[in-house]
Amino acid sequence: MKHVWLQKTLKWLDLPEDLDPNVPRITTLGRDSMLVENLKSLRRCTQGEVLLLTGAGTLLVKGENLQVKELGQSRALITGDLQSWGFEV
Amino acid sequence: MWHFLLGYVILQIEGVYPERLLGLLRQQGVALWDVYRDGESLTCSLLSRDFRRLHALNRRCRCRIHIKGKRGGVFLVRRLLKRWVLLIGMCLTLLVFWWASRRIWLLDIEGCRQMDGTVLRQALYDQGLFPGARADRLYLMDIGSDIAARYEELSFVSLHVDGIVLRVKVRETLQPPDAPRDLSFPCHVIAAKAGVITAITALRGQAKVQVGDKVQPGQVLISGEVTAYDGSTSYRTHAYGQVQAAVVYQAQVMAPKTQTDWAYSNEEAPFGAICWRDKTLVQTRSPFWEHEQVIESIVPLSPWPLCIQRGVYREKIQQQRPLSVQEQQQAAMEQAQLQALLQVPRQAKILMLNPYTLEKNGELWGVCTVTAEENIGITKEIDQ
Repeated sequence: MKHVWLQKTLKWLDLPEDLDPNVPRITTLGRDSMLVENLKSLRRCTQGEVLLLTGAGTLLVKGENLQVKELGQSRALITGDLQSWGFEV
Repeated sequence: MWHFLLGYVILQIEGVYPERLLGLLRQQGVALWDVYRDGESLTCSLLSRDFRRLHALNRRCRCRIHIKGKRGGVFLVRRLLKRWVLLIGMCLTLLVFWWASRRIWLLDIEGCRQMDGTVLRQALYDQGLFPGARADRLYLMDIGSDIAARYEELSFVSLHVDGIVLRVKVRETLQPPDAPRDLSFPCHVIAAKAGVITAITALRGQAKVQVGDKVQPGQVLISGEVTAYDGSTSYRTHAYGQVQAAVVYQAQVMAPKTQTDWAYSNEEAPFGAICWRDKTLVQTRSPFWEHEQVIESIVPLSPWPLCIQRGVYREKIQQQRPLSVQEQQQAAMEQAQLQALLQVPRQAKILMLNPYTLEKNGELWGVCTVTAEENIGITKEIDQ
């Protein structure tokens, strides 16, 4: 309920929606790195896949030689040969 | 870079679910980086100061933690602290660098073409600018002006400290080029002043005086009317050349009988001031035109560096003091010497200076004669 209200308020005030901590912001730079902001937690980290929990669901990043280069309180920088990413159903 | 400076630990975490431990660390605000799976274990890096928190959180996750490596400045310093000789050497080197970097070690002179560089270096040396001198304690602008004023060859001297190099930029005085001599009219070279000839070089015309001759103003020194040895032919020319003569300048000054000195009147006024260290913050005004401040007591206001000064202003007035005979002679000779020297042209070379006193009509006079060597020749057109 709080989440819905926050989203509505942000829209009404014409503010970017990623101010809501439940909305993940994903930025990829080429095929080498991906920055995930508004992160909840790191579920799994292997060389082939990285599983991250976000407000919008579980984000699965697949690739080779994956590495979490930086893991902060609300952001993670994943590097390696990225192949695909998506939210798990 | 910050991670390296603060020091960090590379950990290998083994267990059923090491990601959970990372999640807990994240919640505690611990920054992690370089997280990757290495077989069954998970490797990550964290700051050394966060390492203690890891142990407390690990009790809940039951993971095994191995330290793979320690990196960064903190560990490097700890290792270096054991090698105290090396550490002292480093500190001493830094100290020497710091000490040396505040001083002038090299001198770079630019624009010194006509003037001898050694003379300029010596002048700088005399002003305290030598290798090893502290640059921040010297007033470079004043030194530059002083040197430029002292040497006629220099018109401007700029001093600038660039690290350990003192850059000296010199602008030399440019002499105006000699105006082309107009040789179209016949003329003599005559004496402008009375004197005794010390040197004569007739470049054109016929010399009429010799070295040692006494000449009067207006006397022909180099004649523009040239006659052949046998007197058969004569012609007129534009005479010119150098004629140096010893010229005497004299000045007479009556000896002063009194001298104005500062003396104390017996008037006094109270003085009070509040000072912060050596700086006066407020003080009472003096009612006198000229005064001397006499501090009688200082009361410190501890614990602050304040103090109250008390004393008196003593009035100073000008008084005429009669001079003794010796003082009159001394003052008369000094004044006469000054007056005589002021008459001597700048280009003249002073050969002799003779100050003395004499009594004339019951008064004491200071006399000074200055003998100077100078060029006394001037041109005078020959009447047609």
